Amino acid sequence: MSLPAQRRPGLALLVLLASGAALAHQQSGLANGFATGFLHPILGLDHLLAMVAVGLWGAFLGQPAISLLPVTFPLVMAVGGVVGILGPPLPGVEIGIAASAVALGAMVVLAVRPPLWVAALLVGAFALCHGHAHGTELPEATGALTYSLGFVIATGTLHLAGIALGLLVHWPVGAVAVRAGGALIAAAGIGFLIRAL
Amino acid sequence: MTLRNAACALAALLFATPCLAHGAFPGVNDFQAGMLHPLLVTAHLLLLIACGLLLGQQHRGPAQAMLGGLLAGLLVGLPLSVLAASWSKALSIACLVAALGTSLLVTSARPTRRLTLIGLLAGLLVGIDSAPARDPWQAVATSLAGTGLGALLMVCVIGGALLGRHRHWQRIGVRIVGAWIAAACLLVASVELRRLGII
Repeated sequence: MSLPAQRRPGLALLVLLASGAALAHQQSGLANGFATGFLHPILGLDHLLAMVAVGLWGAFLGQPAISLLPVTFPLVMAVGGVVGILGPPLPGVEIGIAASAVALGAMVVLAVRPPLWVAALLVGAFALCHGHAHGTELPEATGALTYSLGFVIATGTLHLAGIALGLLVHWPVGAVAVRAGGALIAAAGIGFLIRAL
Repeated sequence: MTLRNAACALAALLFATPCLAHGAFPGVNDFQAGMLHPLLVTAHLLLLIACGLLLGQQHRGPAQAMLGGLLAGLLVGLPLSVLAASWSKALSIACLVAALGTSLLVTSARPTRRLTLIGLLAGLLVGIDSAPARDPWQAVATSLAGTGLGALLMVCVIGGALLGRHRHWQRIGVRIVGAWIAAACLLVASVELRRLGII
């Protein structure tokens, strides 16, 4: 039984329509929102370096800052995010994000140990800037809840990574390495700052 | 011509994919789908994790009172879900706000009465917001029973894993997870309230 020639294109079209998409790592719904949110702070170098710097500085400051920062930073960042969602623009938010890498990197390289409230105020101000940037993108995100959960967890994980690296300060060579890391972050921050200006 | 039209209609029907409210897995029965429901609805998941974290910070008596409250809330809320399917958006926001409040309380032990109330509220919200998209009443009842058991098990497992583990670093870990949940809930509740024009 052979198919008439004039019907073959129709059949081919039908077969093409019937085929599903080939996805190597299929993501949809919850997974898509979470993965996008999780990758957002990791793929943005300015966010990534600032978050790691917060962890490094926390390790330098020791207790109670080391355990307080991963708890308070996401909450203050969320407040900044709410401001971003509600609409009021935060003047110089990009400059603030770039300045966070410079300032936090400088704190690490100079091993500055201010009183806890000063450190909290500084980190909190930068958390507002980072949160605002995330918040303005949130309403357009697919699966806002999983997206925000992803970026909050990624942010916290970057802090923890920074703290883990920062614990190297207990060894003399480690302290030099951590401060060198702070210098690199501050240098990168200057680059971001020039671009933002 | 009529035969060709019929063939086209048949082909179109064959290409249609099932419409799933929460992306249920094929081959899963009603009870199992119900049990998976709290895991698949992120607002419920966060609220129940927050309840589990809070439960894990308490002593045995208050923890049991909180579980009792949760069970009572689920027993009242799950049957009501059939009537409340149209309130889904408002209930989701309420779950987020409840998760936000609960996750901020995970830092230490709380009075028994307050814990019972939190458990009751969490059970009510999760229960009422779990309307299954099924028709026969047997399927609905089976699915709701699965949801109740799934929610209760989740809180028991998380809380049980943390009960009596009050070392300093364990408490810090609980606070970090609580802060992450609170931050995510605060952001999304704001987005949802903004979309509804409330704020």
